[in-house]
Amino acid sequence: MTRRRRSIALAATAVAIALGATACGGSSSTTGSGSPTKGGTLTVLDHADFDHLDPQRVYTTEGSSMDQELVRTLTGWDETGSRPRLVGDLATDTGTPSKGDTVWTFHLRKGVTWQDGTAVTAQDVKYGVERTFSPDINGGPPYASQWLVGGSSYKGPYSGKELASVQTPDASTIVFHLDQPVADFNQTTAMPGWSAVPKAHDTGSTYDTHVWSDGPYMIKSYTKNKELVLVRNTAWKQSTDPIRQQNVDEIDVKLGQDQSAIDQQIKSDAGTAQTSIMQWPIAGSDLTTISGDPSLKSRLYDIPAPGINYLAINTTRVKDLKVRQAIEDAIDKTTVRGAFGGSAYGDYASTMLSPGIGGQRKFNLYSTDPAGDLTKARALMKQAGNPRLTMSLAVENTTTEEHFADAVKTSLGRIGITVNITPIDAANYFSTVDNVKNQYDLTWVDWIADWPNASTVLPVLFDGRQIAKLPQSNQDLSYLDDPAVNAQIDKIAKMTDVKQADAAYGALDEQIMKDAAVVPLMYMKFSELAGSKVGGVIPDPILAEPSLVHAYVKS
Amino acid sequence: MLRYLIRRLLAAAAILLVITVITFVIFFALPSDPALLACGKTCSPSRLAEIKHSLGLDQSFLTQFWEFFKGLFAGRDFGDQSVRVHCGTPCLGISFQTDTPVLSTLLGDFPADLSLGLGAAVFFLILGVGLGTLAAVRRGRAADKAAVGLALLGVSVQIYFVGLLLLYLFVDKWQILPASGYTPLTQDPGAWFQGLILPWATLVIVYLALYTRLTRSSMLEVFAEDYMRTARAKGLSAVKVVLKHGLRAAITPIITIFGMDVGSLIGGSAVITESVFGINGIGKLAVDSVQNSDLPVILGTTLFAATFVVLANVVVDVVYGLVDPRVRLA
Repeated sequence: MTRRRRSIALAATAVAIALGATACGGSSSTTGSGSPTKGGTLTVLDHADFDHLDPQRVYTTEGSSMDQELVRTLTGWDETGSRPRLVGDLATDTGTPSKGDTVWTFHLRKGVTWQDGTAVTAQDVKYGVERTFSPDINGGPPYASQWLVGGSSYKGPYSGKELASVQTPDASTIVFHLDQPVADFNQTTAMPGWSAVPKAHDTGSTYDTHVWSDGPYMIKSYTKNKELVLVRNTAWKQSTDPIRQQNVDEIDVKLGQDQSAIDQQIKSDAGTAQTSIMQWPIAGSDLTTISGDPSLKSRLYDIPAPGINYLAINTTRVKDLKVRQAIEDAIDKTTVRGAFGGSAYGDYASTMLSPGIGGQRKFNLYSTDPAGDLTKARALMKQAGNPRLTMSLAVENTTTEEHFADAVKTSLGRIGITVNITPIDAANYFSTVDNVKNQYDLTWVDWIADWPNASTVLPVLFDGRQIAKLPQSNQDLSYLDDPAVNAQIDKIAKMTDVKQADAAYGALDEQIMKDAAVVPLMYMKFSELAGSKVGGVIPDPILAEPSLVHAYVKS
Repeated sequence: MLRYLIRRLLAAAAILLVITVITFVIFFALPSDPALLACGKTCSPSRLAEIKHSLGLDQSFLTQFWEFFKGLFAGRDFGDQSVRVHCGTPCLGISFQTDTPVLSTLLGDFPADLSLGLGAAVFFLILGVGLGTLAAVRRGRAADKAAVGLALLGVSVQIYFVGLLLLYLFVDKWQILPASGYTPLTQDPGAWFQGLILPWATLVIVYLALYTRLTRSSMLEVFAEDYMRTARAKGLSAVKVVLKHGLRAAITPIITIFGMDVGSLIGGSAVITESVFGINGIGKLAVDSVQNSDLPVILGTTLFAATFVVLANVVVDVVYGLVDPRVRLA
């Protein structure tokens, strides 16, 4: 997810020039450390406004994280343990699949109410999901329109029509009919879009600033790009909510300050900074000093992102497998990682699935030395006939990626490949490279899974049949369209046993890597700092955010 | 005078119309697509077409321009499917990004630029004219060289350097001032003042040189005039000679420049200053809107800034007539 946010996050974490600072193990003070205090105001400092708070439109990690305070979803993640655990949020449990995972039934908890005391009903959830289909409610993830029967022709509830494949036999039961089996659908329903919206309080395209709450906090005021103030929702009841707590009286989100200024403010721990936290990662230029400072360790949160930073090789332009394999061995990942900020940025990657993604299988088909294996690369090029090749490389137009591009150029120069660098404006990067009209031989990409399952990584990045379907937002930047891979994707999608599917995805990862369609570079880590009086912050590895659902401020 | 004023205002309106057309044309030439940005990831062609339609981007250039122009005088309704949003006169459109009316966003950011611009302007005018007069009166001597040298130094350094240096010294190191930023005057006058001291200082340091040198050279020209010699010969006090007779005549070019500077400052041209000091003003809004291909906001900020510059010029012309008896407004 998080298209714009991804690129900004990486540019931010990656501007750091110095190497060598190891990210501190910075663990969070989770709820184990004493009982939370009630009261006070938590300040959140963000350098930019949320893309949306409207739950059917939000598609960034910051927005989704803030939405957790306002909006409850059918299922949710309990992250207080060592691994996130899927639980029922609005639903009593994680749902019941039937008919080979094409029908999913959820029963809603009793006693969940809106901020005005009226009950949250199954019809409200249906209405929320239906909103996704309206062109005015744009920007959110595509799963509803992709999977719900009749989704391709439904235009949303504002036209007066309903979507028949979402049924509400009574006020506390909701049934979804999918056009294909989806074994992990109950992980999809943990995304913000699968939440209730009351028709009477829906303000359409301006709902971002008028979100009606069924969570522990509600909007008191929201001036876009300035400030969002949340206050206690007195109608919320702890007994109905297994995920959240309501500790602070107010959450004050200040928007628009420069990230570096935010870093310094929270680091200084003076005044309101003591009860402040950031949602966006520490700016790259500050990352090394902050993560290397032992006095800040207790309030630094290093959160692994369920994602991968990689280089896509266009298999329709670089057709020779040996050349692609040579590229895999030639790339010096130490200089590549250095460009992005050094070891504090994350570990070297050899698989497309990162640790923390269900289905990850550890393997390394190419050079085990991150600096590359030049001998093997040269041998492969010799087998390919020692071609003198010229390739185009697309990167974002930022300092970090300029350094990255140089690292790639140097690495590939050693095996006789001349690289021409094409920098593309960062704000439009993905909309440019995702368009099939703009193809390059090598494309830099980063990807964060929408939920921690391989199903949100491998199919979308490697199913070649999408290229024709989504010519303006093609995510398969290797332009891989291998019938064997496509068939395998279909086969795994039909598996109803998640463990079996996970194992098959791990094998698929290895199969794709044999094809050398991509060069995985690094797994990513996002680091955030909080004030000394902020407690109860849980690292959320699904959104790669510090989760605030149990946050409190010490007096 | 009245006829003059009306003619100038009509000319101003014509200029603004031309600026609107040019901005519209430039936007259409840009390669980025706001509908695609709004659509998000995994955007199917049919979805993209729907969103294009709901944003009105599938209409011809002339239709879009006409809709916008009409809206300025008659207000507009948006959203053909969801709850209709009404945008009152003058309607500058609804932001593609935030779905809020552009005018209300501009008016919300305006007080920050007004405080920043006017405050800095008052200081750099008084200081600039003062230093320039001093330099002219003490021509050739140490005071002259010091004043001009100092001013030159100020204009040579860059805003971002001065700004960051001041922040480092006054906020981080010596901790004399709290973090800079804009607090509304009505909310907390003390915080308003304290938060703006450093941004004002930065702007003053940079703008000072221009006013100092301009005043100095203008005054020197006036000093060479015969009537100044007459005034001195008649025995008028030095102060009266310099200020009442000298400055009043020399002020014309200074007013011209000052008008344009104030107009552009309050219209939001202090982008770097806003960015360095964390002030959410129109400059920052303009830069963000260009990055997001948010046409309504781009148009809105351009028109807003242009309006102030143009109006400032009208005011300047009127002030000429009042200050300088040699100017007769036709």
